[in-house]
Amino acid sequence: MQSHQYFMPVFAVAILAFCYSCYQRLQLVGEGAAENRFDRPGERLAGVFAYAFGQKRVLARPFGVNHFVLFWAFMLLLVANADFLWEGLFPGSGLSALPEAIRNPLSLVFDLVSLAALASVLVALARRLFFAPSYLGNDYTKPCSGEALLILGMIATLMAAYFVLNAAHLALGQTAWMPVSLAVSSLLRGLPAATLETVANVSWWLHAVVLLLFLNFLPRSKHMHILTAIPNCYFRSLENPAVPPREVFEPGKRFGVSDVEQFSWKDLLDSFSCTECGRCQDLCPAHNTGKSLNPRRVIHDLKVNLIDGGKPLIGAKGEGTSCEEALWDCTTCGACLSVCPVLIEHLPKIVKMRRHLVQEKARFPEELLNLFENMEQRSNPWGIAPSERGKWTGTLGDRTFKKGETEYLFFVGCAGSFDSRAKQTTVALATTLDRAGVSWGILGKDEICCGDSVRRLGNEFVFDKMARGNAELFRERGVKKIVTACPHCFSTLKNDYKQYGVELEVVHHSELIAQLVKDGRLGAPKKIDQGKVLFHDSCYLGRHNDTYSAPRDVIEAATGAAPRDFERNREKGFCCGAGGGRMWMEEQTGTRINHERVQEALKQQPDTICVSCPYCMTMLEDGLKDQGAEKVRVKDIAEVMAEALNDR
Amino acid sequence: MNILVCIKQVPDMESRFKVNGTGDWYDEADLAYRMNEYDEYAVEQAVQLKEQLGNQPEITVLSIGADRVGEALKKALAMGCDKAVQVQDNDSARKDPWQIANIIAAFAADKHFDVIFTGMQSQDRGSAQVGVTVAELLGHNCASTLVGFEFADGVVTAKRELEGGVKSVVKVPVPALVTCQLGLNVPRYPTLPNIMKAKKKELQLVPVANLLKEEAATGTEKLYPPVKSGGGIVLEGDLSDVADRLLGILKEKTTVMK
Repeated sequence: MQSHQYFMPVFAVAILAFCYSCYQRLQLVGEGAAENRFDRPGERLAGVFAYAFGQKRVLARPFGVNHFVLFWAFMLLLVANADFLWEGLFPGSGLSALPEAIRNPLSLVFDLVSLAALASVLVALARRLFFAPSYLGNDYTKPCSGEALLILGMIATLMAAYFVLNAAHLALGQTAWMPVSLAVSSLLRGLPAATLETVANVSWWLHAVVLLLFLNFLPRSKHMHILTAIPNCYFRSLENPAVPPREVFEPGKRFGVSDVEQFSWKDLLDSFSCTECGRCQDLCPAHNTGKSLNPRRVIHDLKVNLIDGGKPLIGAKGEGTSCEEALWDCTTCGACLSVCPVLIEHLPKIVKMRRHLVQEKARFPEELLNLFENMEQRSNPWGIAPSERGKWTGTLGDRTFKKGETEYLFFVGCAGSFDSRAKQTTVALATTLDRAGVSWGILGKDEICCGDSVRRLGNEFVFDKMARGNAELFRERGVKKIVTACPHCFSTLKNDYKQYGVELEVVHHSELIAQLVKDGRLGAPKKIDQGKVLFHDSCYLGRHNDTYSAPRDVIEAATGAAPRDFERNREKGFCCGAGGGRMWMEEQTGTRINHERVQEALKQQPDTICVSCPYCMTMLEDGLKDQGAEKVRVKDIAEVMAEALNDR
Repeated sequence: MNILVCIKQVPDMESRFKVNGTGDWYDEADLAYRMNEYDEYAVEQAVQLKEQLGNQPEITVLSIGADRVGEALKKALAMGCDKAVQVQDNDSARKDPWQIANIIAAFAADKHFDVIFTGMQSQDRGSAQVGVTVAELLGHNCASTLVGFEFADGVVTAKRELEGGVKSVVKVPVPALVTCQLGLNVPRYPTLPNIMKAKKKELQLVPVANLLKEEAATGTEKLYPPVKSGGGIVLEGDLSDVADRLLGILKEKTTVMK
């Protein structure tokens, strides 16, 4: 191995520059607010193995295999390149000093892995050039961005230089287990030794310089994810990532986020971990219907804002700034959260920025003024008198929850109590529970809204009051188990209320009914033919709580057949458009989300669309009406079950 | 400049009202209270005037009633009023508009308010007497039922809504009292920092006896819900059948089809 004079200073400068860049970025991350993401290290490490080393989410899409190959090639070549640099500094003291029995297999692995890396880079390049999926590009970048081509070009150059370098050495008579390099060396045979020396020298320097450039390019590009993705997986949210943190309401404090450093350090680390794969953008219902929001862009703008400094975080659309309209577009469906390979938490960031707009600026779409006042005054979105809450019970008699006697609190929720269509679901569930002999009761006029909409809309102050009120009410009444027919109540009571010390057994009615069927407590429901049944996944039941089979099981028990799925289903289900408080807002930009979903359904010509959420019910019924397809019925799973029970 | 806003706390109008035991007012049990809607326009307009004048004016907000009116006063403070006055009176519902106006006038007499804002009327009693009577007692200029408000050089230019949708514009030099109604503005949603600040603002308590020297001019004889005259009919069933029956009823029992 020849010595490379001048390498030491080149290396020193490059490493110093790299360290400085990393320090700068880390310092920026350190500007974020404190947040404890250091607990439960075992669980965190397990996540790193699954998501980072196992590439669990990357592999969820077919093309992820290519990334998997490149990732593991990088991991192995990390050793090869460390050795390369070491040998450059201290010739003859690296792996080359090892006995052949170890060196040869290592060389073989490096040689083959380099070929794999080169192949995957070429496939990635071809994908960007010839068959790029639509979600790679958007309004600020395109699949063949200079940055992407530069990165792929650098990796390809590294591999090529590596092969030529080894080939030259082999041609000079060195022996090693390097089949790929050997094949390349056949092209070099016959060249004079001096020329081969030059080829080797040039290749070495090319490899060295590109490697050091690549290293320095990382922290200054989207390729920073090579350094941050693994820690980002480690520091992921171990709770439900869709649940935003509580706020402390003290005078003099600031509420929500209007400046980038008000985000937590983990929020900022997220921004450096995004490599712009575009999967969140691909699934986002707002982005898909031509609205301002693009979750990928929110993260990108956060990073640009952090790096550039001085730009407003929320304001007129521009790189580094999120526009208010985009923040209000979010339905909090959580598709971005569930698909991100490196577990970036988009949703809580949007809620944090909404908190600033609502609480510090009182700036929000005007429809919300009415909503907020109704929530504050009457604790329901419609502003109906709280005394009307229990009215749906009608002929069922007094069903008040009795402390120490009643097993389940039926938390009816605002829609189930006041919306005339949703009330039918409420009654259907009540009769089903009665049929199974389940002990249940309601709070009636004392029930207050769970606060889901106000929390997602950023009105944390009002949510806080509601959550504390409910927590107190549950304690006072001795509630231990809750059943609800609304996934929004369900998820809020189950997940958000943990922050208020409420750790009850909360079940969605789909889970309870499925269990009752399984336990034989509903007998054998008569199979009622509902025609061709499509099941629409509710975001708050599915993605937010990972419950996919229970509602399908209920439909199957009631109709005798498993329902069909939408093209986009389960984790990839498409929102109805009503979550995140969007239920109470106008949808003025782009096409309507519920129309898109209904059109997707109509392609399969269903007779019945089954839902498990009152919001989905409203949105899909409205969508069908707008599309002139009212003959398609929308039914809640509880209604389908009640019909099957009544027809016995 | 000195501004006074007079507000009343009223029950949520969505509530179920019952006549009280003495038969002269509604039963106050189980009711949720809020700021009278028209008074919200008054507060908003006062705060907008303060902002227009570079935040120089001081806004006092006044309410008469039991301690629960503190909530309504707090909201007004959160919206931007500077200090609050509660005229303590647990029996304010039995005071007639003349007495209420006298209480306010007695409070305002020596304080030189340049502009006084009130709601057009209260949502519960709805007499629409208090504002204009206060103006009369203080000798202030007065314009009622405002849907537009401008202020320049000591003159209020008020747009009033008259009967039948007719509007009029009047110029009222200060000191002036205006009564506000729907359409004047959109009351702001208080920001959280302002809600926090409101807790620290001054709340002055004045016993009603210190201000009220007048007897009631009117009294409530009896309070009762309107007598039901004929019931409604709810048509149910198939849509086209329902339409036919409705058409029949309209032809037979009304003159709209003739």
